This record gives sequence, structure tokens and C-alpha cells, in this order.
Amino acid sequence: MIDIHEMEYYNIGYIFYFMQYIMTRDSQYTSWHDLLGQLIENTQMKQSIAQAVHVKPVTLQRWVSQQSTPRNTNMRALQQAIPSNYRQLFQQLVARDMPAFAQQQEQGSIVDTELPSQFYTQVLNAYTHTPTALYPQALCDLILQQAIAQMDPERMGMIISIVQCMPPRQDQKVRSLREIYSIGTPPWENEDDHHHMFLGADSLAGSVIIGHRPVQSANKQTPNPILPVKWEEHEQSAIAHRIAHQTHIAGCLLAVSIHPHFFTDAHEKLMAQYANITALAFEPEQFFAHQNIALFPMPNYEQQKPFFLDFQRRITAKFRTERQHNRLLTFHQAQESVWMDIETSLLQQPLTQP
Amino acid sequence: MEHAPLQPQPDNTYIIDTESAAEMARLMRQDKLFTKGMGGIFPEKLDLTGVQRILDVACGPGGWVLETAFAHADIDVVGVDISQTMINYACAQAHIQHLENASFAVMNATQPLDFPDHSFDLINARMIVGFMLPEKWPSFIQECLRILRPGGILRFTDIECGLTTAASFEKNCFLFNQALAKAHQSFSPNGFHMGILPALSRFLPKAGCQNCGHMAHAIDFSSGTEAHEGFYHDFASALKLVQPFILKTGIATPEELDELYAQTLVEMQEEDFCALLMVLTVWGQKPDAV
Repeated sequence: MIDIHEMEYYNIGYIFYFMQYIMTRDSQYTSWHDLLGQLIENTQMKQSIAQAVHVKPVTLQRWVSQQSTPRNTNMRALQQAIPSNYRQLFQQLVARDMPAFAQQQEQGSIVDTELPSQFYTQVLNAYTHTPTALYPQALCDLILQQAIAQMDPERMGMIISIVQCMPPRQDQKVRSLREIYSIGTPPWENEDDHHHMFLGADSLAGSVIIGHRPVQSANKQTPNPILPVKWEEHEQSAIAHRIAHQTHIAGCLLAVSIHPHFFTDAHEKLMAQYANITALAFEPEQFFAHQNIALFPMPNYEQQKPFFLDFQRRITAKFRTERQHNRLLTFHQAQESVWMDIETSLLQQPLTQP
Repeated sequence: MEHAPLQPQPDNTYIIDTESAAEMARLMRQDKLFTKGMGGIFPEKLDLTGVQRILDVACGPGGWVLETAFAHADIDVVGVDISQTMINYACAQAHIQHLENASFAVMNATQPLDFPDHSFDLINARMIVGFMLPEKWPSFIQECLRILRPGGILRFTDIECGLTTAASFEKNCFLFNQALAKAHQSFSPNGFHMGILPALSRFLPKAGCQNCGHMAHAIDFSSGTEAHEGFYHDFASALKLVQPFILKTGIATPEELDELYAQTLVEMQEEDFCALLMVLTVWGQKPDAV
């Protein structure tokens, strides 16, 4: 046994030597605890792994001695923090010692498929008691915050949006969709990390609204020729579920992940439940019969972006103009009116390839 | 005019209905906004070596507790709040996020806390000015010191209303501050401010804490800033939800508040809207002798 503590030369050469030494002893490891224990005998390595996993060095020691067990999120970070020439061995040991974790890791993430009863209570509370001025935002907020916590408990990178059918035009047809609320985990944790944009027939949201199945998923790495999807920055896989009441459709719930093939059957079940409950956020007149939804393709985000630049100014101008003419307009109504103006402009734009 | 009903709760001095789902949703988002605006859960870079158990007082739906438990897997984080609804929700959140080191209990922070002496290494309370009456602070701090282990850290964070260039926003803040003063919940002698920030730094040294420190943050939520949209939504909710409290003091009519509310939303969206939110964190260590 090498006496690590006598060799406190914290330099790259020493670490290299140390790693070579360990590599010759791979066969000795009976568990991932053993391997981790050996690695963290080196103080510098211990510190480095602890920093990468965001725990204290003593926590690594507790895991090694099995006084405590790392959470799944810690284990994922730990696997990444193990030096690359040991990672595969470490992962093999983890797969053997923690088969449930390994299986769930292959499937993407670990999620409970039941919505807590307390959540339903709060949704009904919001549905019943929220002042009109804050409705439906408070309800949508509640639903999305719960959905993101449950769909991405380890904060691996997901955004969930509520997508709504834009009000019909003169021909009584819905021509586009718009993302109205969203919430995400990094890289989309800030309100302006995600672009709220118009979506059309050439989107996953559009496909699920005009298609026959209430749920659709897509993966960037394995494109489906009959399901063309435009991918934005960071996006690798997505799932959408229709928001409906009886046969009429208000929009869809859309979840996007930074990981390829992230969404599992468990996610699909959750999406169905969250989409059902999101239907409470819409008024009866915001649901449309299938034959009244005739989506057009919409420009990509770069083409839409210039139309959003003076959005705030347009709202305040509309609000003030209407008030000057003694027409009472709420701020929300002014917003909706500007969105419709933008939709009109976008529908007239020539489309370019993404 | 329509308002969320205020549920009568004896001993509950919070200015917004604690059972409101809209308030719960707002608090969850607000937690994230403040954590980001302040630069993290512990922006003052407290030394957490040896910290094994943290209490968050008046945790609401548990945002700070859940964030801390997620970031520090080896620390047990406990949240307490007066609202059973908030605590039930927080428990459900901890469960679905698999945060076994987060737990919650219903407790009134203005009453003795149901924990043995020396239970925690760190006690945090963020934005409790909304319910903590000025005369209750000293006994609250003593109660915190009782359940804090010697050498443990006591940490408070609070805010003032935003400072802005928008007349209607300022009027809203003025009415709110006046209502607070009228309800005897303000530190300001004339109700021009909430008054908590200048008072906050005194509490801990006065209670005998050592190694006291403070850190101020000015969160810019002017138009065009990263924080604008988030705080726009936060204030849009808060200003509506606080209306029943203002009305109860009789300093404005429902019609006045509704008109002011509509104007405020518009002014906050103006391109030249400038706004700062002042936040102060203070901390101190419980001496061995206390």
C-alpha cells in the first residue's frame, strides 16, 4: 500500500504517478466505494473531486465508508469528476452496485409519475380564489413550477412551456401558436434565457395540435421525416402534449431537454397529467375545434426577433391611445392586441430555411 | 373591484393571505429572483465548515430551503412557516425533487419555536418584515439564539420597497408604507419607508452576537435589464395581492387602487423605467457564553 500521506507533493507529475500506480491495481476494486476511497487518499484529488461535486471533502469520506449515500444528482456529478482514465471503470462498478440508478440514468432521469395531492389542492385554490388580474398567470406559474420540479428533479437542463392557440383571424381559423409562459432549469433558468416565440405547423407543438395523437416526442439526433421540427439553441429532445377540453384544443404543453432522447414513458405520463390540469387555465372560448385550426409555417426565431424589439413600447402606446379615446383597455388586453399585430406581420413574412 | 379573500388567522400578521395559491406561486418565483439578484444562496461567502443543520424561518413554500438542500447535499435544512398550506406544498416539493435533507414544519415565528436548545448551526430568515412586528424582533432573536448552537450563525435578509422613476409605482409604495405604519408594522417614524434596512444592522450586535457583518445589494430591475421581466411579474402580483391589506387601513379606495395598479403596470413597461431594489443581509455569531 502506497503511503499517500508521505507524498504531499501537489504537482501534476505526482498526480500522474499516482494515477499510474492506481491503474496497475484495478483488479483490486470490489466496489465504487473502494475506487473512490483510493482516489481520495490524495488530498489534492479529494479536494478537486469534492469541488466538482459541490460537496465537502468529508462527505466523500462518508460515501466511501458508506455512512451516507450520494443522491442521484451527486452520483452523476461524481462520475464526471472521476479522472477520465478511471471513469469507465468507476461507471462499471456503479452499474454493478447500483443497478436501479444505472437503469434510470440510461433512461434519462428519475421521476415520480404521480402528482402530489397537495398540488391538486393548490391548483383548485388558485382556480377558485385568484383575483382576475392575476389569472391565469398565477395558475400557470403554479403548474409550471411543479412540472419542472417533477420532470427535471436533478436540474439536468429542461424548459417547459405552455403554448396557446392564437385567436382566430377573420376566416375563423387559428393560424399560429404562441409560447405564453415557460420555466426552466439551467441553461434556461432565467426569464430571458428562453425566447417566447410564435410556433406554426412546422413545429412539434404544431404537430401535436393538428395531428391525431395527443402526445408527440422528437429527437434532434434522429430526425423524423414526417415530423419536421426546428431546433433552437441547446435543444436536443422534446415532448409535447395537447391541452384539450373534450374535442376542442387550446394549445399544448411543451418540454424541451438539452439531452438527446431524454424523455421516457414516465415523462409522457406526467405530461398528460400536467396538460390535463393546465386546461383549467383557459377560458371556454380559447378552445378550438380541430377543423378551425389551420396552422401556417412560421418564421424561425431569428426572423421573428426584430418584431419583438419594440414590444414594450407598442403595448404602452396602445394602452395610452385607447385610454385617450376613453376606451377602457386593461394592460393584458393591450398586450394581447400587440401579439395579434405581430402575428399578422409574421404571417406575411417569406419563410427562410433555419 | 375583486380581491382574493383574506382568511382570518389568529396571530398571523403577514400582510398577504398566507393560504393564497397565487401568493405561493409568487413566493416560489421571488425566491429564485432574489437568490439570483444577490449572487447566490450565501453571497457573503459564509464559512459553512462544520455546518450540519440549518433552519430557515418563515420559509413560505420552501424555495430557499430547497435550493440550499440541493446545493449542499450533506447539510440538513429545515424550514418552518405559519401556513399549513405552504408547508404541505414545500414537503411535496422536497419529495418530488428527492431532497431527503430538506424537511418542514408548521410554526409561528413570533412564538417560541418548537426546537430544543442548540439545535442548529445556522439560522436564516429572509424577508420577514412582512409579518414581524417591530416590538417582536428582540424576542424573536433571543429565541433564535436559544436554538442556535454556540458559535452558530444567525443571518437575516430584508428589503425596502423599490426605488423607481415611475410616479404610480412610487405612489403604490407610499400607500403600502403608510398602511404598514398605520398597522404598527413599520420602523419608519413617518411611514415614508418600511424602515427595516437601517434598523436591521443593529439587532445582532445588540443581542450580543459577535463577528457581525453586513452586505448590501442593489438589484437593478430597470427596463432592459436581465431582472426586469422577473420583477415586473413579481410586483404585478404583489401589488395586487397587497391591496386588501391597504384597503383594510382605509387610506385608499378600491377604485383608486385599481387605477393606480393599471398605471403602474404600464409605467413599469416604459423604456425609461428605472428601478432599484435595496436588499441587506446581516449576520452574526452566537458567542459561546450566551
